[in-house]
This record gives sequence, structure tokens and C-alpha cells, in this order.
Amino acid sequence: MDLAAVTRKYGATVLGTIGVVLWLAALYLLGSVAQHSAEFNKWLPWILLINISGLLTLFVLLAIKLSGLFRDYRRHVPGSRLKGRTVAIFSALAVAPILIVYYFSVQFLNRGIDSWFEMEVSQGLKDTRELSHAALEVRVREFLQHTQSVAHELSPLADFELIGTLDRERRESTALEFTVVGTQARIVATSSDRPMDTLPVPATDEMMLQLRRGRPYVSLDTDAIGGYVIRAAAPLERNGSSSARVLIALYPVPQQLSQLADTVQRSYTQYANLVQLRQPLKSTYMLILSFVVLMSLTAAVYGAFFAAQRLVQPVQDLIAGTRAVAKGNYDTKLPLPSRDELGFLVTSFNDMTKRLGRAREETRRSQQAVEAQRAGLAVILARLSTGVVSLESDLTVRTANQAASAILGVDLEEAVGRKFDETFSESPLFTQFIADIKLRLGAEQSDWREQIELLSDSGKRVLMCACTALPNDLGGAPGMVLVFDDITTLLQAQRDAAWGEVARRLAHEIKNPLTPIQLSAERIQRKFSGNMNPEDAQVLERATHTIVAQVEAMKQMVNAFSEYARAPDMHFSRFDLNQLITEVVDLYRVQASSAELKLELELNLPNIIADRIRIRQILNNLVTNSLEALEGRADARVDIETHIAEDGPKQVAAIVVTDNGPGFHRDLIGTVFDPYVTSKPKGTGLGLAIVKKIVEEHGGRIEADNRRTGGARVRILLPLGETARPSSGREPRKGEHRRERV
Amino acid sequence: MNAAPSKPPRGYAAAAEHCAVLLLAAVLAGTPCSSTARADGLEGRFEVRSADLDLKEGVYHLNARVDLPVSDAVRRGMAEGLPLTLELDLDIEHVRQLLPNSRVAELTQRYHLQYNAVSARYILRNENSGQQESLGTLDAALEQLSEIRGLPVLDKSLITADRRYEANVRAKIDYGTVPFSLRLLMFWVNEWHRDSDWYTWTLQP
Repeated sequence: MDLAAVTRKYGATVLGTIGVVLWLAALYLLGSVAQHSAEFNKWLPWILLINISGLLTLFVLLAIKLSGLFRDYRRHVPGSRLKGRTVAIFSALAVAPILIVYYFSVQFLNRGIDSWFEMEVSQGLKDTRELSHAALEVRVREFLQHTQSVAHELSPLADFELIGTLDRERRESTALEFTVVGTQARIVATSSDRPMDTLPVPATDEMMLQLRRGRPYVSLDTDAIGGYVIRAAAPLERNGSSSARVLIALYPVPQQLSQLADTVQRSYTQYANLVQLRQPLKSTYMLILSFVVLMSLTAAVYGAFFAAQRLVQPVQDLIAGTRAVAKGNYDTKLPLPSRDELGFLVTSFNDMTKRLGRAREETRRSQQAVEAQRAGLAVILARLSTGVVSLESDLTVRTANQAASAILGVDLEEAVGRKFDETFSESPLFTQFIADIKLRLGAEQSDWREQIELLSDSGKRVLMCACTALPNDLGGAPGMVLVFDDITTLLQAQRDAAWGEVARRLAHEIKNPLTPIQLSAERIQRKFSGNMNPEDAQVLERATHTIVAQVEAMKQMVNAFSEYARAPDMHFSRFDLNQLITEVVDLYRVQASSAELKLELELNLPNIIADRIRIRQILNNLVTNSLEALEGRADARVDIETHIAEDGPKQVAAIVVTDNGPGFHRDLIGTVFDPYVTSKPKGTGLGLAIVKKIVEEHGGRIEADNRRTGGARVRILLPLGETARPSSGREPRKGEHRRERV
Repeated sequence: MNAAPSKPPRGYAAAAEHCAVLLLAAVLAGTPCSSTARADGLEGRFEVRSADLDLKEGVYHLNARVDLPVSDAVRRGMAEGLPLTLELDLDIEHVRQLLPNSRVAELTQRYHLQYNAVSARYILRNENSGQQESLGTLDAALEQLSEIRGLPVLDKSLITADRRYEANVRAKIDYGTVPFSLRLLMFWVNEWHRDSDWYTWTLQP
């Protein structure tokens, strides 16, 4: 581990420890502030600064902690309430004893310091002072009397005679100094036993004032070196009255007595100082005590935060872990706090999340497999041409594939979650389908398979429908699945194939004998008509003529069947469809038809690639059909329209032929393209069948229906941009071309 | 002679002390101890009422009059033996136009007044010279203390005639023997120590 890492890891701890030690030392020094020397006083401001900084730091930390706790509490952060309660309990446990100790400490301080100044001590000092005073008073009076006596002796002497007498008197007494001062406190004479550099005791104003008032002056004074001296003054009298001269005497106090007096004075002064210090000491000690208690309280509360954090942290981790697990994060691993019960709980939690994670992984894999299967199934269902719809027991649609929507002509995606029988009521086809389904479901059949015939605008639609009850293994609501397929085209193809086979056999089996029949009839007529009487000859002629005519009619019919059944022999070329239509229509106009032929052609219609002759045949058949249907109508009208349409992904050329005739018979509308289906008395019923066959040979599609305003409509779609090929696929369904029918 | 009070700049240590005191006040304001302050110390106006320098025999002598903030409580305390210390600071500077003033003379004179219970006398001692004086009453002692007469402070040779000088006098008074540490902790009780404003006048040689 490099130095930077060590500094990062332990730097804060070391600095914090140094700070705490420094603070405790400063606190200790502050606590003994009254016992230190003046040198210590220099450091006192810094000690105070350290203490106050520590206290402020604690306050700031505590404020941050409290605000954080309050914020977490308001935001309902997990564990904040437990932490708050723990802090409150710990704080109460710590603060209560501290406050009790503080209270008794304050009482002790007040009473303890006051007890130092008991009345007995004060009174004893006063008595001692009085005793000292009384002891010295006797000596003071003696020295005053001695001074007065000396002054009396000196009174008659002149100034120049004083020095000798003074010196003698001083030597005969215990006086330290005798000094006679005159006016203006001028020294007249002096005799001293004190060192030579010591000036004589001066006359003070107080001394002179008292003497002028006629009272003796004596005082006990301290000298400069700490001893006691007695100073006395007495006026020198002249002729019985006081003169301006004054004798000032200085007497020593015995050393033992002086020391005792000094001791008394020192004690007295010290006691006075203590008395003066009593209140400041009390205040200061209470101040420091309050300071220490405040810091202790702050530290205790901060410590309560620390302890609460240590206790609550594992719980918070558990709560956060539980929430993470609830959100699905099973990778949560909590740190192990300790080896105690909480540690056991955390270990159990980690084991649980580990097992949950494993289980979730297995579930996820299973789900992925199911999803893959479901996706595959969905793809299969989507690609199926068979419609599949799953229903609840109450006919609520669970799922429906695209083929179901296409077959029924509605968007069943919109019906998912809704009742099957309450949707798309505007669609007749769907309504018929629902009615049939409900009819079969009402028969309490769980599994059934039926062919349902529905009638649409474009004809009869035949659906093969099967219903199967869904298994209820998972405990969900039982349901059913409907599987249906549009077999209209299949049936049509079967019919087409059957009719083709019929036509081929008719052409083969009937056409061959017709020529001999005709030839035989004509031979009979030629051979026997001349040998008969006119009446018989006329009968024979009519009979043979009928035979020939009927044979001819049968030939035409057989040719038509042959045309229908023959294999396609296509000759494709690119040509203008509009031009072809115009040519065909002009031909019919030339025939002076009474019907109005109206063209509405798309000018931008591209050329198509098709067999021109066959397309012309289609147009001839359709126009002929319409004109035959319009015979006898004054307002006969045939509209031929071309336009570009879309058939699935491809663009197609649409030819729409409509008339205002009676239209297709409703019962025949589903079979108008079947051979031998016709409503005309003379029709063979092969015209539309051949048209349909040619269209399908070009890869196109044909529809026939009735207009709502009356009349028939035939719509042909031919592919654009590619060579038409014989149709091999199924016929496109109605639902896939709804848009082009608008 | 123009007299005008002013405040010379204080030292770094004093600023730190003041800072500490303010912080302590911010933290401990409102504690029970604040109610213990009571006025039984120095009280009243404390100032240098007048001061001048008198030239005698080539030496400048200081004469000054100081108003002492002595209340009845202080008088009682002194009668019990508490000392009163007066410190007189004299500062004479050469006033310069563009440059900072230069100090010519600086003097601090300390007087100590205390009651002697055994002799029942007030002892006034000059801490600088060691001379002391015994006075029978407190009034006489206070009068003696407040009146400074003929204190030699400066030799005339140190003064140049065509220059301008400024003299400053300030007094400090201490009552009792309360340690500095206690005073610092009880900073809001200003009854043991006072500083007067500076008394300033122009000295004309």
C-alpha cells in the first residue's frame, strides 16, 4: 500500500485523534485556569480558541447530523425512524446523568466556595488584627510619651544646640532617628542610627495638620524593606506655647513583633483577596463546568448518533436490500456487520437473495424458452392462411392472427380484450359468423367442426370452422380456440376442375358423333327427298333441318365446352388496354345498340403484358352479357372504367364493367363464374366461366357483385409490369383488398 | 496645548485575545454564570483629566490629574486590604508629515496603594522608585494617587526646537488581585481593570 493510500485511509483518523487529544488537553488546562501562573495566561486565549473551536466543530457536526436525520425522517428514508428513536434514547441516557452531575456540581461549587469564607475565619482574622493592634498600641504610646518628653527637653534649646542633645537622647533611647524640623518643614537638626544614605523622615502634611490642631501624632508605618517602625511627632514649646519646631522620632518595632504583624497583615490581605475572588471563582468554575458539560452533552449526542448509526446501519442495509430484492435486483449482497445476531440475519438475507437470484435465473431461462416458443408460434400463426382466434369462456378475444382478420374482413387486433360478439357489428359477414358460432356454442359442444356458409357482397363464402376447448391446466379461466379457413376458393377450384373434366369429356364424347349425325341427316334428305311425295318430302326436310340445326347447336355448345376446357395457349404482348377497350366498345356502338356505352379510362394506365386476343374475348363477353341483360330497357347504360389499383404489394390494372340492369340473381351471385350457371334463357352459362378462366390464366382476379343502386358489376384486376402467368395461387381474399374497393 | 482622545493600534496578541473572548461570548452567552456579574468593583468615569509637561532646570516634568473610578464598594474593599494599582503610560512622539511618527520617550509609572490593617494606614508606594508614603485616610491616599506632580520624564536635550512633538498619557487601574485568566473568562465583568483613553497634547519646545 503506497503512502497516498495510507494517507487516504488513516489520515482523517489520525487528524481526528490529534484534534481530540489537543482538545482534551486544552480542556484540562482550562479547567485548572485559576491555578496557573501569569506565564500561562499568555496561552489562555489560544486554549480558549481551541476549546471553542472544538465545541463549534461539535456543534456543526451535530447540526449536520440532526439536519440529515430530520431530512431522512421527512423523506421516510428506511431506518430513519429507528435511527431517530435510537439517537433519542441514547441521548437521553447520556444527557440525564450529565445534567444530574451538573446540577450537583453547581450546588457543590456554590456551597464549597462559600464554605471557605465562613464567619469564623473572617472574625478570627479581625480579632487577630485587633490583637496585633492592641499589642503595638502600648508600645506606640510609650514611644509617643518618650517623644514628648524629649521634645520638652529640647524646647528651651536654640537650633544650634539641638544636634548634641538629639544625638545624646537618641543614643540613650531605642529610637532610630530624631529630627527637628522648623518652618516650611525645614530640617533643623537630625540624629539617625540608620544608614547614611537614608534621608530623614520628612514631616508630612497630615502630621503637621494634626500638630497644629494640638494633638500628638504617632503612627505605625511600614518601612521600605517590609519592617514596621513607629513614627511620633511632638512640638517643641517655647514659653509655654508651641513653636514652629517639631520633633519627629522614629522607633523600631522589635523584629519578632514586626514579623508577627507582617504575618497578620499578609493573612488579612490574602483573605481579602480571597473574599474578592469568591464570586469570580464561582462564576469562572461554573462557566468552565458549564462549558465542559455543554461539550460533554454535545459529544454524548454526537456519540449517540455514531452508536445509532452503527446499530441501524445493518438494519438500513437490510431494508435497502429488501427493497432492491422487491424491485428484482437479486444480486444485492449486504456487508457482514459483525458475528452477532444481526450478522446472522444479514448472512441469511444474503443466502436468500442468492437462492432467489438462482431461481430467477432459472425462471428467466424457462421464460425465454416459453417466449421463444410463443414467438415461434406467433410467427406460425401469422403465416398461417388459417384463421385462429382464442376466446375466453365469455367470448372475450384473447388472441387473433392476421389470417382470421383477413378471412372475416375485420381487424381482430382491435377486438383483443373485448367481447367477440360485441365488436364489428357493422360488418354483415362478421355478424353472420358470430351468429353461427354462438349458435354452435349454445349447443354446449366443446369440440366441433362445421362448414359455415356466409353470404357476402361478392357472393357466398364457405368457411371450415373448428372449435376446441382450451385446457385449463394453469388454473386460469377456461377458454376455446376457433380455427377456420376460407375454403370458397378451394371449392371453386374443385368445381372448376370438375367442370373442366365434364367439358373435356363432353367435347370428346359428344362432338365426335355429331358430324356423322349431321352428315347422315343431310344424306337422308338428299337421297329420299326426291323419291317422296311433296308432303313427306317437306316433313323429311323439316326433320333433317331440325337435326342439322340441333347438331349445329350442339356443336356450338360442345365448342364452348371445348373452349372452356382447353389448355391455355397464350401469346403475350405489351399493348394499351385502354385502346383495346375503345376498339371493342366502338364495335358495339357500330352495331347500333340501344344501350349507352360510356368509358371512363385512366389516361396514365401503363401498357399491360397479356394475350390481346383473350383480353378482347373477356371484354366481348362482359359487354355482351351486359347488353343482353339490358335488352328492353330504355335507359340502358354500360360503364367501363379502368384505373390503377393495388392488389397487396403489387399494382394492377383494374377493369370495372357495370350496368344498370337487374344485376345478378342473389342466389346465383356466389356461383356466377361456375359453368352452366346462367339466368338467361338462351345462355350456355359458360361466358363468365371462360372470362374467369382467362383472367386467372393471366394471374389476375375477377369479382362480381351487384351495385347498391342496382345493376351488376364485374371487376377484373390484371397485373401490371410483368408477364401474366396462369394463376396457381389461391384467390386473394376480400379482407386483403378492402382499400381498393373504396 | 490641544487635548484629543485617540486609540493607538493594539497588538496581534491582543487581537487574538479579543477574538477568543468574542467566540467565548458567542458560545457561552446565556449561561447561568452571566447572571453572577455584579457591580462591586471599579465604577464611574476613569480618565486623565489634565496633563502637561513643565520644563524645570532642563528637564520636562509631568503634571497630571487622573479621575479615579472608585466607588463605595471599592472603598470598602480597600479598607479590607484589597490593593489598587495605577499605571501611567507616557508617550512622546515626533510628529512627521509623510512618515510615521517616531517615538522620542516612553515611560510607565506604577503606583500601588494598599491598606495596612495592623497599622491602620494606607501605604502608597511608587513601584518605580520604591518610595512609599503612609497616609491616614483613604481620601488622602486617593488624592495623593490621582495627583501626579513634578514627575521628571524627559531631558530637554532630546527635544529639537523647530520640530513638532505630541505627548500622550494614558492611565490603567487595577483593583484587587483577580488573575488575568479569571478576568479573561469573566470578560463581561469590567470591575477589576480599566484603561483610560489616551490624553494627547502638542508639546511646543
